[in-house]
Parts: sequence; structure tokens; C-alpha cells
Amino acid sequence: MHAGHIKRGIGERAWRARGGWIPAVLGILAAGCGVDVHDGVGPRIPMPNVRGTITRQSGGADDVDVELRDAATAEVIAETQTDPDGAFTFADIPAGRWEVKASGEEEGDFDSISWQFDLGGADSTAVIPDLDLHAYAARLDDPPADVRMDSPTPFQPVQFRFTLPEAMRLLEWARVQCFRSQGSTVWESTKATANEVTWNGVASEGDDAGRLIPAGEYYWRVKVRFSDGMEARLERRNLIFE
Amino acid sequence: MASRLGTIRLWLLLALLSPTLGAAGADTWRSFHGDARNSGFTSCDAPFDSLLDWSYVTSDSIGTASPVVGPDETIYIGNADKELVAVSFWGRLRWTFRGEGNFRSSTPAIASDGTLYVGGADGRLYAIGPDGSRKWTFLAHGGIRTSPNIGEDGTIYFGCDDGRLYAVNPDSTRRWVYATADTIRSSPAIGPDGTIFVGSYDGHLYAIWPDGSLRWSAATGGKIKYCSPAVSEEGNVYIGSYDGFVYAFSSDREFLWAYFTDHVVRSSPAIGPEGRIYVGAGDRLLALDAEGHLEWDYSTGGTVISSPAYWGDDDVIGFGSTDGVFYCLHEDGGTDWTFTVGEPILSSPAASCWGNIYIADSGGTLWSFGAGTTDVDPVLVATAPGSIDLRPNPTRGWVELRSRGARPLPERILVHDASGRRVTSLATGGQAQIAWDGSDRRGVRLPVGIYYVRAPGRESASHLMLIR
Repeated sequence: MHAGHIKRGIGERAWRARGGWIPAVLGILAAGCGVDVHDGVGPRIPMPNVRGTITRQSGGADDVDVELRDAATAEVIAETQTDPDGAFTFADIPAGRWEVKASGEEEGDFDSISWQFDLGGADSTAVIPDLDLHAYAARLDDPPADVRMDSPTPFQPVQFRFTLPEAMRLLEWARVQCFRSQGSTVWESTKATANEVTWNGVASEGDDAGRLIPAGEYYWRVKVRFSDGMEARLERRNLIFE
Repeated sequence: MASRLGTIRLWLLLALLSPTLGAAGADTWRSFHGDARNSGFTSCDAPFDSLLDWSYVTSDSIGTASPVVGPDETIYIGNADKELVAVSFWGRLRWTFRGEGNFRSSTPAIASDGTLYVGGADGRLYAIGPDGSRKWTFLAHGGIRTSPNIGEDGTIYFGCDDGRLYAVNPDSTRRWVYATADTIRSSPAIGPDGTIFVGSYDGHLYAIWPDGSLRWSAATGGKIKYCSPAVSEEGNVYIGSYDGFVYAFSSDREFLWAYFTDHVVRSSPAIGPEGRIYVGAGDRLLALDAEGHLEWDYSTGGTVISSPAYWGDDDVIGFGSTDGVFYCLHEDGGTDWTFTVGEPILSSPAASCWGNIYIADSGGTLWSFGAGTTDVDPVLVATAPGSIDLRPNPTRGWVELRSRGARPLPERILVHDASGRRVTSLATGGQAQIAWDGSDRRGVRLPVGIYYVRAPGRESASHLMLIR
């Protein structure tokens, strides 16, 4: 099992060394002043308090990058990889609302999946339910990649179509998101329950909010939420508005 | 007999002297959001404060159905018990009409001949005489949970759960229907050139020519559920959508602007001076300028589904919230006054040119604010002696008000004109006597005539004659 490391603090890289608890403890002792010591109780050993498993369908997904993010700011505070059984842990995570995010790396994966949870504090433990990275052939349909089309308006909107197979776990909603080529979001649809979303070209985010978007290259993708709370994102696709 | 003759002579005199009796009915709130354009704007006076006149409890809940005001100041509202009630200016039931479906979401529209049109959830458009009698019904293919609107030629337009916009002649025959792709819960607005605008669950705002053909349609990014379009005098149309935007279009198919509220928009926009827009979204009332920029917002303790109304002479905005409070704001977003009714308010306020606001809550109660007319009958006002001594009387302006019996005056003294309309409210500070310069609430000298001076809730008034 791979333990996640907190990106800030002392000795965190040492703790990330694979091989289990004993080598880690020896390493901490050898490091001497590099360890975190509590007066009168000896060296302090980081305790995993967030655990979970990433799967592909039913099997564990090995060596998947997993991040722990602040749910409000999306700041990454720790990262790790799954072990051959798909398991991961993060240690010494303080109280707060967090998001575990795993990135797809194989053909047929979601682009990413995530799960948000509340943690009472470092003494509390959160066990994340199995998160399935397999996309079950969910895909973007229209518009196709690299297509050029007139910029959408309320009088000539663009239609986004996608396929979310029934084999997937129970879907709560899907949203279409549109980004500038630089990555900033310009629009996010309302929660759709059908595989089709219309956009009239009016930006809802950023400096252009409330105005029709200018011509240029954009990306769109579909974000879905399942009834058990897991969220997943399909791959991005570009399109060019003229 | 002498007293009766005196009363008749006095009313004849009042009829001759009253400056507003004829005009009072000319600008009443006869359909949803006040006029055919659904503008939510009135040039009538707003109440000065939260002084409650009366409340009338109907038999069941009231949703987005809103009160309307007839030319004789009768107030009409429907409820979930399939009842449409007519209540007098004094808060007394005039009649009850019972239909076959509930009226909790349909605001009646009053035609020039006094006929009321209201939609029932049973799919019938009801035509009801001013006396509460059933004239006819028109059966649509789905429930009617929108408010009818009346064109200049008397055509009645309404949206229906079957996704169609209906145009019905005043003789109950169908003129045309226009089918959208989904349910219509948005009430049609009629532009200055007769174009009918309506939103649909299919997410589009439709502009329909008066002959029933499509002029244009515009896609929003979400359903248009309960928000009804509002049209300005210039023909610009404003609508909110479940995609969180409030949109502005010109009547000739031009996108003007959109404002992202980050909440579904169920409240219908009201149009203020200089193109300003007032609309509820989430827990806030938003004030947008003519370019769609936020000027201010005002947070309530609930959701603002109620469609605001704007009193142009006083520059105040009134609306309700699901927190059970009716809010009256200044044009800069400051609180003028509030009144807690205790039940969520989904309904839109109705303005009266007699100086009242009428609002309904979801518990089924109709509330009247403003003129301080509790249990006062106009005949009593005209005949019963008042408790306030007025000197000199007649007067050319200044008058001294003194309580008979040397007691302190009531905290507030109301002055009504001959039609019953309140023209000013005087704060006494509990003194035994005060002076008043004969001007109205804005400091404008009142015209010659008879005025009634009284304490709130009292069935008596002192008569004052202003002369020049």
C-alpha cells in the first residue's frame, strides 16, 4: 500500500519510501533531527487516516496517480500512487473538506474521477468507497474534434451530444463544460439528465460572463456525477468557433 | 331623514370635488405583473409604511397566483381549493367563484368590460363576469398554470402544460395555437407592437406574431419554468432561465446582454426607470442596470420566487420571499419597510392607485397594506364625527390638529382625499396638537376639496375643507 505524502512539512519524502512501516520507522530514527518529535513520547509516526481503493471495473488499478485536494480551492496538498491492489492512503490529514482525485491513464479510463468527503481531524479516519476509473465506453459524440463552426448565439446554439452507457453506475447528472484553449472555464451547463446539452454561446464564467464568446479555439468535456457521489470527467475535445 | 339627506348632499359634493375618483380605476393592476407587458411597473403611489389594513384568509393555499385589482378596487385571487375570490377594498368578501381545477398558479386578467379570465389546473380557461357568474370555459389539452394576458383586440393568450400557447377570442372560440417543444408555465407578455413573448420548458423564449406565426425564438441554456417575460416600452424583452441567466433581447431578434445569477431564475423581471431590471434569484433581489450590470443586491432569509413590482412615483420596489417576509426597498437597495406574514410568499404584489399593496402568501391569506382603512366604510368616513379638532376649517393651507378632550393625539394621523385614497400620514410624536401645512406626502400642496382626517383603525373622521 502506498501512503500519500503531504506536500508541505518535514521528512515527508522519507515517509513516502515504499516498503512498509518498519523501514520507514528506521529511516525516521536514522534521520535524527529530521523527525517530528513530541516531548516525552518519542518519535512521531505519521498515521494514515484517509484510505481508499481505485478500481477498473472490479479489479484494483495499480500505479494510478491519486491527489488529495482542498475541496474548496482545488489546491493539491498531497499525492500518492495506488499499490497493485489499487489501494492508497494519505497520512496526518487535518480536519476539513477534501477531494480525492485519480487520473485515468489507460485506454477506456475516465479522464479523471473524484470523491469529496469531510474529515473530522487527524484522529479521524476516512475510508473512501471503491472508485471505478473505467469509463464503460462513455464518450463525446458531437461536435467532432477539430470541427470549425459558427460561434453559437441564442438564435443559433450549438448542440453537445455524448453517450453515457447504462452499464455505468447510476447517473445523477451530467454537465458540459467549455474552456478556452488557455484552460480557463467560460461556461458550464446546468445539470443535464439527457445526453444532449444546448449552449447559446453566452459565457457564464470569467471576464466575458454575460456576453457572447468571441471566435477562437475552445475545448469542451462532460463531467458526470453518480448517485453514490463519485464524479468523473470525460476526455476534453477541441472545437473552433469562427 | 335629515341625516340621510345630509349624507347624500355630502357625497354629491365629494363627487364634484374629488380630483382622483375617476382616475383611480384607470391605472389598476389588471393582470399578472400589472399590465400586458408584464412590466411590474406602476405609477401609482406606494404605501408609506408597513401599516396593515386587513388580511383575508381564503380557503386554501396560494402559489404564484397573484392578486389583481379591478377598476372599483375589488381584489381578485384564486387558490388551490378551486376558488376565485373577490374581496372589496375594505377586506370584505364580495363573492366566490368555484371552478373544476385549482387556481393557485394562475393570476386572473381583467378585460375592459370587467370579465375575468383565469386558468385552471383542470385545463379550462374560465371567463367570469364581474359579479362572479360563469360566462364560459375553454378546454385546453393540459393544465393551465400560467396567467392569461389580454391583447388590445380582446384576444386572450395563455400557456398550457401541453406546451402550446393558445389565443382565444372573447367569445370562447379558438383563434390559433402555437406549439413549443415542452410544457409552458411562463405567462405570456405582449409587446407594444402586439408580439406575444412566452418561455417554455424547452429552454426557448418565443416571439409570436399576433397571427400565431413564429417571429423568432432564442435558446437559453436551461428550462424557462416559472419566469415570465417582461417587455419594455421600447420593446426589449427580459427573461430568466434555469441556466442561471437573466437575458435581454430586442424585439427584432438581437441579443443585448445576459447576467449570470448563479441560481435558477423563477421570479419574473420588473422594469424600472432608465431600463433598470429587478428580479429575484436564489435568496436575493437583484438590481441590474440597462446594460445588464449588477447595481446592487438584497439578501432575504429565503428564496425570491415572487416577482417584484416597482412604484415609479416613489421609486420603491416590493416583493416577497419564502422567508415569509414582504420587503419594500428604496431604489438604492436600502430597506424602506418590511412586514412578516409568516408564510412563504411566492406571489407577486399588486399595486393600487388608492395607495395600497396587495400580496398573497402560500398559506392562502391575502394582505392589504398602506391606506389604513381597517373596517372603515366610506359612508361612515363621510358621516361619523371625528375625534380630531381641526382649526381653521375651511383653511387655505395651514391647519392645527388637536385631540378633542385634550388627550394626546394618536401616534399617526391619516389624511384621505374624497375618494378614500390616503394622501399623507402625519407623525404626531404623541403630542396633544400638531400643525399641518396642507401638503401631501411629497410636500406638494393638495388641491381644493374635502379631506378626511382620522386615526388608523377608527371608523370616524374629521372633515377638512381646503380652499384657495
